[in-house]
Amino acid sequence: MPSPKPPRIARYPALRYVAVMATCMVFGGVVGAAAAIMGSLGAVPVAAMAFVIALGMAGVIWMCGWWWRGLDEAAREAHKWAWWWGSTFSLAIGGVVLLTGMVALDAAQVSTALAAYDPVDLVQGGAFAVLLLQTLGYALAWVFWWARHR
Amino acid sequence: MNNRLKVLRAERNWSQAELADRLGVSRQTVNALETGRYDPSLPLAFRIARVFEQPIESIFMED
Repeated sequence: MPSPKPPRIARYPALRYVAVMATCMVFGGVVGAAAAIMGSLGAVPVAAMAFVIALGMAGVIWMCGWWWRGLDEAAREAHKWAWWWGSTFSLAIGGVVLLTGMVALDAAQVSTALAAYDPVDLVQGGAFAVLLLQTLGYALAWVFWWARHR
Repeated sequence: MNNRLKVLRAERNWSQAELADRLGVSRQTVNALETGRYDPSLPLAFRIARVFEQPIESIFMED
């Protein structure tokens, strides 16, 4: 039986990952600049803004697909495992901290302490805290998977 | 799951990197397979069998 060619994987997946991250940042920068320019020109239709952002996001997803296709099955398994367990654990830990804080802290004191901040900043800060926690959990879980499979 | 990958590779004087190239996986994956800490998918198990020209059941065995 003739041996079919093995699937092609990236020779340096870490470099490919850095390239993807760098390109994503460039995409983000371009979309951010485009949104700023469009905003400075006056009232821009929401549809136009959404189109520019969707275009940038499509580019990012395309790059992620290129990176994913360069991984072999074990590397993909590590990422899937890290995505599930890393995110789940980090959200669980964050949930414990949040719920404990809600129970233990005085609501009036918290309101007074946060009154100095812009509500938009608080919402964005909360969203970034979740993102940061999940990314941290993902990275730790990924390292754990590979340590366990060495 | 146990396997004879390391023995089969040594019989052919292949490095882990060489076997990885033949299988289309990374060297880290070959290492994980050899230590028995990662069980391959069916397509990869078939590729391994083809590379070593042996039936799957003579390469992989249950614990």
